[in-house]
Amino acid sequence: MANYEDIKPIGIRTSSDNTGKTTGQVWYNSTEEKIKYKTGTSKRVFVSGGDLNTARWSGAAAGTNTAGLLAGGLVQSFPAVKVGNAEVYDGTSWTEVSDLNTTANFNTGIGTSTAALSVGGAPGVALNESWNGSSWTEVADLNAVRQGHSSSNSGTTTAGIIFGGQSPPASPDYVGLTESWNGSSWTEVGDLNTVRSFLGGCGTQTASLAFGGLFNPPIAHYTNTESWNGSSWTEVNDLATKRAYLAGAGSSTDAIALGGLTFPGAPTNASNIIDGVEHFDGTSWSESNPMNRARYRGNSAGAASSSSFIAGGFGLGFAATEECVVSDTISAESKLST
Amino acid sequence: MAKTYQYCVAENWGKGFIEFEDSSKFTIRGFPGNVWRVPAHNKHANLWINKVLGVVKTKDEAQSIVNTEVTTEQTSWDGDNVEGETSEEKIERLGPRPADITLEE
Repeated sequence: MANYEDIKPIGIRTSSDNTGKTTGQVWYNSTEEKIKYKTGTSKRVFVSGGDLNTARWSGAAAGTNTAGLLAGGLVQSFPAVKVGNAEVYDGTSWTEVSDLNTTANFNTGIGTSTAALSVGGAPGVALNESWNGSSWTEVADLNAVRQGHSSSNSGTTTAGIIFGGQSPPASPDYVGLTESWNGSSWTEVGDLNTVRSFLGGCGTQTASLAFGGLFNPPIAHYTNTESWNGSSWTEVNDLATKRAYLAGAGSSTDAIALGGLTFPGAPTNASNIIDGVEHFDGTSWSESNPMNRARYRGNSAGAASSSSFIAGGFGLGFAATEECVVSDTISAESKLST
Repeated sequence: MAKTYQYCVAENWGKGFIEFEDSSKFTIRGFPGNVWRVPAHNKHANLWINKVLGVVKTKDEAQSIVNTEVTTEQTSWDGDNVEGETSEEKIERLGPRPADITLEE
């Protein structure tokens, strides 16, 4: 590591942001009114974001923690009701936008807050809707109905994949099917090696990751992680913790697995809703700092771990958002009293 | 035995409620009922409780609040039924029944 004296021998400089700094550098951030220091190591933590207007779980999320989208999901009621509500996130608050044409839950999202897809959903539908920033339009259906699947959620409206999930009424209906979208139609491509539903996923049409999930019957829970290269899935290093109903975000070389349920016994054991987070660096998973609230069936997206968010989750009025922040900068309060 | 954690009740107002400077210095764990657990005898945690206008609760008081919320969740889960649905299908649709939460000292 460089010595500060060698880098900035004439004093602390003022900067309005934290970009372009060198390890060991100290500067005064005039926007934040703080003295900043760039360390040699990154820290990944979760901070609070704005609450959803409609608390829900198991919807389709897309975008990032400064420009996010959530469409559909289940709202707690008697019984729980699936909705078509869509909201966009600006990094501070969620705003209601035009609803999906068809209510959906256990659907999955691909894209950004201004150009996205909502794909599939319960009870086993093939519907695919495209968002252009102001309204949803029905586009070509999946080849196989799907629910509980995952997706390359940082793909685009012209290039994305979905994988795994369930395709009722087959029995068992769990599938490893992968379908690829080219902007006008879906094509079946290479299957997952481990058939499963309620798994985590992230990435793009040519570089995705699938992790965790479950199969039933007989019940089985997975740590398995597979990497997609655009044509086939390859087993890579597993998660440390078996989990399903988890959320995923990031890329195939910078992914995070968020929360979920762990199953030490039967799936009726709900005592292990977890806040645990694991980070994948392209080779292996490592424990990361946990979320601030344990949750499962949360709605998540993000092209990198540092741009990801998770919103909502199962439970009454569960509307909270958490954003992942990765920083190699520490700061000291320096605002002058007036 | 020295306390490991302290509890407070604070409304999560969203952005700014938990910031990088908070999460990077100590672990904040949220529970139903706006109950928050932070390390005891920790300067940064105490400052955070002050920032969010948290009302400090004993572990037993916090446990009572959490219990009330969990009971509501369980009642909600129990009442969420679809005609003809098996228990396995219900778990698949909703996830397992919310379980009791035991707070740590």
